Amino acid sequence: MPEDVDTPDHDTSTPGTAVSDTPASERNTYRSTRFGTGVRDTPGGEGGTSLSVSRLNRTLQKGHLQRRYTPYRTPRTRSMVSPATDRTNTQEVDAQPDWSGLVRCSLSVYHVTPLYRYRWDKAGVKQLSGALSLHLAQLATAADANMYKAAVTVKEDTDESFALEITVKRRDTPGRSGSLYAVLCNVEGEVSQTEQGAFSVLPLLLMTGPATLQNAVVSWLEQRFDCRVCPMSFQSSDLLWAMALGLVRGNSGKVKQQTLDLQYDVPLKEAGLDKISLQIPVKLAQALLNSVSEDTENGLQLDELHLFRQALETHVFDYFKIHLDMMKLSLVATPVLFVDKVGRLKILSVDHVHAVLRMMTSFALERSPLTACLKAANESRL
Amino acid sequence: MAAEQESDMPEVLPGEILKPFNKMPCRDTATVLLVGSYGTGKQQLAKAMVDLCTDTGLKLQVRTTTSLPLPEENTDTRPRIDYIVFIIDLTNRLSFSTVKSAVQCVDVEYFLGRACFVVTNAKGTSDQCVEMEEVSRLADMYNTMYICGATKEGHPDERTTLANQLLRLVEVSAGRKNVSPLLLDLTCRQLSFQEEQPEFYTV
Repeated sequence: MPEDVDTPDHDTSTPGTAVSDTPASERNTYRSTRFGTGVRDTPGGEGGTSLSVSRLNRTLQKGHLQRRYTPYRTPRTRSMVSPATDRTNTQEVDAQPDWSGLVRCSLSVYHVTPLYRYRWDKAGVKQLSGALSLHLAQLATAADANMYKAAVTVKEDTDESFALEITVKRRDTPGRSGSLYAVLCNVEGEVSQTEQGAFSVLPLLLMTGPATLQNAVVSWLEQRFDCRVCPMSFQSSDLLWAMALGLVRGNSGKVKQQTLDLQYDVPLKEAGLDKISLQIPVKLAQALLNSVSEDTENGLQLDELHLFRQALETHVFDYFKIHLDMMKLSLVATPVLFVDKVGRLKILSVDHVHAVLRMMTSFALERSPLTACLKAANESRL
Repeated sequence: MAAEQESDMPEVLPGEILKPFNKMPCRDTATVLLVGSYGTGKQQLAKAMVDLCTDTGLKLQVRTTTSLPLPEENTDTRPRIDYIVFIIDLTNRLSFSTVKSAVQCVDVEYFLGRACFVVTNAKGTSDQCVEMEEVSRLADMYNTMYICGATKEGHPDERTTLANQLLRLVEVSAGRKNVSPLLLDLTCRQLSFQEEQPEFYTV
């Protein structure tokens, strides 16, 4: 596969001994300052672990490759910046929909297979609201019938893409206490939303609210659109991408003590110790990420992310003799977002919602091979 | 630039590299080396393999290590290593990195049919930290097959199957079957000259 041969020459050498021609002076100053609790560049330790990887990569570039076909190829580069919407063009910024309903609440993330027969004109959407109310009324017991009021609205993003917003409110209590808010969207996903024939591709579903209501909405969606809604779980590599997004787009200055929080699950053998939590000041983490990667704005490579992770893990090993590589990363908390391996997401600032949704959409699309098959089928037909 | 990079990395001394033909083979004996980090189930796999060999007349010696190169003190008393098994646990990133550094301390002759990778915990992607893609890339790079299996207590049948498979390979490697291990290695792969062709390794 061509992507493999294209790994850049700086591949995985330690930041101190860079092969590429970045100026050595800035690396040296980074290495010589001492941080109290922060991350220290450890060329010796890191050299030990990345020795084989860099040799491996060099043989990759020289030798012949035989790529095995694996069905779900995870991308080696992800861009942290959307090409369309992150320009400082005020017109573009104003045109973004209002995602404030998603901020600062604990969202459960689901991935959805393509929806069948979704009509996005006004009459269709109104019909959906009615259908959802009916469904909820049917599920409710006789005592609390008519307790919930459901509304389905469409949020326009650009001409092509839009999101479906579902709100279920309790009639008796005002405010958001017992109510559910859900967004079904496809934010710049690889498979476009509208070109798929009778199907619409809206792979990402974010819901916040009581569990019974969530189950009810999920069952209604599955019934109405003949799709499957599955809760999404994140692997440690996905959590690392989310962490990188949080670091690259971190807002500066608002909160004094901004830390990057990483939580690792300890394997069962170690009795008495459940989780290990690692806290790093965000500025230092950002500096480490910048020193490892060439161009954080346009695309972060998977190898760079692995280097970052290796740097942190060797640092912890040097100081505490804890092998973080044997443990599984389960939670990432940055000032911008908070992601759990179970599928819980919390976005803490409105400015970055779009970027987070874009990354989540790409995760959701990776987990749904049905969508890729649909796209391939439609393309072959055209 | 390239020279600078070479001198920065610690070199593996030529004396430390494991060679298959340094020592004389013995009749009806075989020695296997299991390489894998802590927690990958080497002792249990070793016991399974030795248990299988008790009736066959083959004297099997299984040695385990967590990293290569092997310590120099034992070089004289150590018998000839016929087969090397690298164990990678997909839930343990450290096992993958130790195997990656261990393969460099092994002579290239071992990769012509006298070594293989064993991948454990390959079922169920929920706990995996290492992706299967990385392991298959490593195996492709060294042109060596990999076997997925289980080595721990919870799967005794799978462990026995894995031990059986490894034992077959070890016997060929020790010279008991009158077949060169390279021939066996050839039959395990599909020879193709196109890069995009999918390849399947079966044992």
